[in-house]
Amino acid sequence: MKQTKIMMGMTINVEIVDPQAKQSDLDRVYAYFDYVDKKFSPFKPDSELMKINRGEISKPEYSPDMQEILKLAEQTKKETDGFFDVVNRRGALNPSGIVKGWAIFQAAQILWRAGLNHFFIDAGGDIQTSGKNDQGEPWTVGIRNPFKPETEIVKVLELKNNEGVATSGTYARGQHVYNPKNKNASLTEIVSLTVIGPNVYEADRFATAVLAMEREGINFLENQANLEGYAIDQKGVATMTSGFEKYVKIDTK
Amino acid sequence: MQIMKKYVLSFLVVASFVVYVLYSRDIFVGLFKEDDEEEQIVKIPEPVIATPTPVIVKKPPVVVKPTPIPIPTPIVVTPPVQMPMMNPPMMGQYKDGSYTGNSVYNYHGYIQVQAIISGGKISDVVFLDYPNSGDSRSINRRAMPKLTQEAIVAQSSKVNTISGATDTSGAFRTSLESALVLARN
Repeated sequence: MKQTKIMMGMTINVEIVDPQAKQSDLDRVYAYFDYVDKKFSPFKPDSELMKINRGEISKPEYSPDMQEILKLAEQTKKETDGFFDVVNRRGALNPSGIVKGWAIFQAAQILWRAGLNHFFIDAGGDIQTSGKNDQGEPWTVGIRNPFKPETEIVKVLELKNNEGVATSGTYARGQHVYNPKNKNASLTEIVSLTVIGPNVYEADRFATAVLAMEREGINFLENQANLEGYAIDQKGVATMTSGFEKYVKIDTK
Repeated sequence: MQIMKKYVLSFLVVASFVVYVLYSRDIFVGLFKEDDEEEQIVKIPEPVIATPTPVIVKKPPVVVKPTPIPIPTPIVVTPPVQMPMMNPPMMGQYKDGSYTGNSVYNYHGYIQVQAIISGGKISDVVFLDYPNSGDSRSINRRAMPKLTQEAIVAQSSKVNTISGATDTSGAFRTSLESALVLARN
């Protein structure tokens, strides 16, 4: 069974293949995302994040989930040489770069605990896979073409071991579009970075941080034992880590 | 006769000097011209997306027999030339100045842009905030094996789902629109 909802400003697709899956399983997944949104939303004035940023809650009063996220964010900051930072330029707490992947992975664990093994959860293009698809085959995930994001994919991945996939991109960042007088100023070289990890949490947190490393990012991923990456630059040339190809499904046309 | 000789000799010396100077100047002029041309050639801005980059196939081990060079596959896709989702602003629609848009959250972080209006038109859009891009420290360079590169090619296989970053553009648009609302008032 499949369902699609728009929540947290993104499309959330869930497909569960297990025959015993019920609508209530899907409902629980969406209810979980709703819970995460209420806690970490920067729009909802009564979210815990907003209360923290207004100074209404002190550190010892943070919820376990908030403490967990901050702990994970600190760990990610260390692991990415400071490229991932939850405190933004205005000094406000902004753990959003880590919340999405974490929330998807938590939602997947809800389904696993319910005894379901064959599903995927896709939230805004970040995906946790589990088991096999309705054909009994590995789940296939396309990498969106950053230059034709609505219509085209440029790679087909085949995920056999419950991996997670996340893509960070700067499709719309394009300063070069708006600054014809100085085309070479602050050009973003990497326009799309896809990371395959042992789960979507790992894939997402590194996809977010590594994109900011520009060309060095793919080298960073090459040095991580459990991560593979596919970086597309603004000329449409992709660089991949050495273990990436084992996830690529040959295009049968 | 002696005096004539002196004059002729002096004249020849002076004349040859003048000829030499003129000749040298020409050369200098020529040199400068060449320099200028060279500089101009260098200065021509490289087109951002000009030629398709050839596919670099994984380097095969050194072979004795000459191998046919792989024919570069032309890149199928071209980067967008303009923002497709933006409505072109009408002439004189906005008041000149800098307008800061709302900080918009897209679950990867905040996006905040500033629109610069001159002559009633958007002349630039500056990113004040972008998820995790504020830190420009470079990471330690490590000795890296040469990684495989390829030109991206559209695939036709059906897939269960698609990974991609689509929500950034929405946040970008929202922030820019809020900046333009200010510019209109």
